[in-house]
Amino acid sequence: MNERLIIGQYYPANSVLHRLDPRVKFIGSFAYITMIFFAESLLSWFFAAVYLFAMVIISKVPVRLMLKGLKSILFILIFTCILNIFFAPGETVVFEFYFIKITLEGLLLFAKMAARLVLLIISSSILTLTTTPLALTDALEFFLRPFAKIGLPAQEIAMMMTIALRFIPTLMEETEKIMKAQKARGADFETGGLVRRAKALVPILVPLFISSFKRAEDLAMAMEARCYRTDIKRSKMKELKFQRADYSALVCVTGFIAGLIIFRYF
Amino acid sequence: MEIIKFENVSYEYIRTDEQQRITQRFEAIKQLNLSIEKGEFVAVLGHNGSGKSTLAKLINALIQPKSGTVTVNGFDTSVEENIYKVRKSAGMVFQNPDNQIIASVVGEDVAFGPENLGIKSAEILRRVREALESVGMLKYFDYSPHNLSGGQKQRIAIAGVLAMEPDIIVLDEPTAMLDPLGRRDVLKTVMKLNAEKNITSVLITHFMDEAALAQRIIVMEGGKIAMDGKPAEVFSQVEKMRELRLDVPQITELNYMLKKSGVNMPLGILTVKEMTDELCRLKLRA
Amino acid sequence: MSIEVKGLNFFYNKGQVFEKKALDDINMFIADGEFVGIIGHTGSGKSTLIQHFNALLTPDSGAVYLNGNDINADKTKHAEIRRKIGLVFQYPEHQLFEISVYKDVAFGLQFLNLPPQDVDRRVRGALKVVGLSEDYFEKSPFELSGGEKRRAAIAGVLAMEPEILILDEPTAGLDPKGRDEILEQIKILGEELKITVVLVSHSMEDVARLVDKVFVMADSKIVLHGSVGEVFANSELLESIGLAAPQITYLMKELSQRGFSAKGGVYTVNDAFRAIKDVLDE
Repeated sequence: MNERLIIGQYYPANSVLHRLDPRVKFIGSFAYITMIFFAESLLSWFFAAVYLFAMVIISKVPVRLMLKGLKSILFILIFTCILNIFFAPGETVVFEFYFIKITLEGLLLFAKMAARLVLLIISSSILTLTTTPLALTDALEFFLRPFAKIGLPAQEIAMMMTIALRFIPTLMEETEKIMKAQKARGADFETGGLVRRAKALVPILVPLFISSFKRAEDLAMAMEARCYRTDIKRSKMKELKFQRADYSALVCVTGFIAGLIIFRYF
Repeated sequence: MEIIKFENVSYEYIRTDEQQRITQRFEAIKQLNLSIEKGEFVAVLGHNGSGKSTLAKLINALIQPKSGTVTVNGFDTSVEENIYKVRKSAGMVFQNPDNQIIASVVGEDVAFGPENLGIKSAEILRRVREALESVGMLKYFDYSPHNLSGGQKQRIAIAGVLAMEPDIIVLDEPTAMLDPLGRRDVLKTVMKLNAEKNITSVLITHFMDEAALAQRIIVMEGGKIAMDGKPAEVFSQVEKMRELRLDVPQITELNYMLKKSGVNMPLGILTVKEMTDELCRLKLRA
Repeated sequence: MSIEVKGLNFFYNKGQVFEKKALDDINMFIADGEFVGIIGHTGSGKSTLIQHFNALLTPDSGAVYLNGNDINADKTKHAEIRRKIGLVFQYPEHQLFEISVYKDVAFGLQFLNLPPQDVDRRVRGALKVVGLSEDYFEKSPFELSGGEKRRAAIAGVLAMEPEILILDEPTAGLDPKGRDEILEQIKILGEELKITVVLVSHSMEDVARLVDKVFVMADSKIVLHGSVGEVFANSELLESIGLAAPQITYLMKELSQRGFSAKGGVYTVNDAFRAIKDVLDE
């Protein structure tokens, strides 16, 4: 099995955050991401960072994994850094060399932007690292449910996501298998120009499509045999239900929002 | 009491072209009559294209007969309102373990059936745990099915059916893609459910040693029942089985060869023990 | 062509959290022209092992030699090695993709830059060996029956004219008739083409019918090897790793314990018949 076959980033651990209702975690992350755009004063930034750091500790997820997500935005960070530092207008010059002029305002602007990005990535990582994809799907179904009145099939969308999550690893494994089999038959995927390489994909894609159709057909039949129907509301083994911890968490989120608004002006 | 009843049942597959014109007709089941008693363990044999899988789908109301009636647990499968009642009482397990597991967590997958029936949460959880327990997979409740073996996946599929509390379980070549260990576990599970919960079991298989474990064997050929009887009765007709392009278990084949060469022994020996007893008796007499 | 494996170790996800030892100190020798079986249940490492034979996987330590040459000494030769070693995967019909059987069998040949008449000769030859007549050439591979599809897929590998043919579970999922046909074909193949054949299987009956020598794998290791008779004599060990000898082996064992002294080394129905008949006729 391949490590990349693990879907999502879920990190199994037994923390308060793991046990929270996924809807609360959704709301919490959403509130946090919105609020960091309100952060202004140094104190408010500090408050937001401390709050997030506390969440990281509570989540029991290794900090290493949290930082992994940051790697992908490293490029954006460096790029904005250069833009802001060199080209931001400002009066307080810190450093000057020919046409390069670094101003205090530019540095501050960059710092703010970088802080925002980093906090944003870490906060969404906390959500995906502590919540299984299946629980995320459940939460999403809940938030989509009001739209059912205007014809959005929330139940079916959630079912589609569930099935997709289930079959992604299977299809990835299958792709690998077919590639190996065609290689064993003499196929060559590594050399040649673009056209040749694109053509080389046909022996992989055709069998993959065929087997996927077969799987879809089989799965549809298996679902039907187990009484699946779209004309009635399905029940759930695990109804999402607020526990005491969930209410406390909501209070916590509200506290954070209030705190940030207050600190903003100090 | 008969729980499954086929009366003059026919079914055909029709292939059409883009203009909905019929290009091909294939009669998979022809005027078939069959009744299976409650609590029976029946194995269905037959080469590919003999109509076995069609038979299975007819029991589960996945398809309806073209003519004749199929009655399952008292419900006529052709009546629209009965379909979900039939599917609830006759669960089905398919060949490919990967293509019948719906959720990415074992427990959630087993819950799929009861969730479709609209059963209350607490009751679903109880049923899921009980079903996983009886197939010996309870400790995998929170696992991802992706990393389990084929035999384990099939047992989860069986649990998924059990959670709907069916009276009948139809297994369409459940062991075809498994290794010997997986096959053994699946068969043991089916036999246990049949014995302990009195669940009527219809096992479609290509493996003669599996069929030998059933109480009754039905051999299909050309959409009809070619042979029907106890394993010893069916397997003792080696010539006929060969004609139908099927094997017999090794012991039964040996039994037949010995008998044909003039050894004075009865036909229909299925197990190593029976064969040893018989041979030792013969040797003593000689 | 001979295959020799020396001290081979292989890990999945080496150096990662999910590292798993897949092959543990494998040593084996398969002589030119031998018909060899590798048995073991799913996950025992047999499929991983055979993928080392044609360099689809590279050992983490140890080496694989073909006719005495280390196949991983020169990576640029891998394509050539894969041509010499025909590997038929499990459910090979899943790789079919062309619009006709003929074209599908010819797929691998396009990379060899052969003259068209050679391609034609090889395709026809391969299809003949697997018993698919000219009527099938222009059919879509997807119209064929399960057993026919599989034979077409095997022909695709045979057309490369390999010197070693490796088949991974060639009978899996087939009905008894399809099983018998494929096995019969493989047997003829080994005899006619005089190439080395490696049959990977968990069906003891298949192995007993065809091969000269068996390697038994369990938990990433080779736990037993020898002639079919030698291996089946160890029925306790086989059972302990989730395999079982053919029913006949158990009968013969039981008989000898009960004082019915038939001759040993019997594991097929025909041999058992003769052995028992000999005793009864005495």
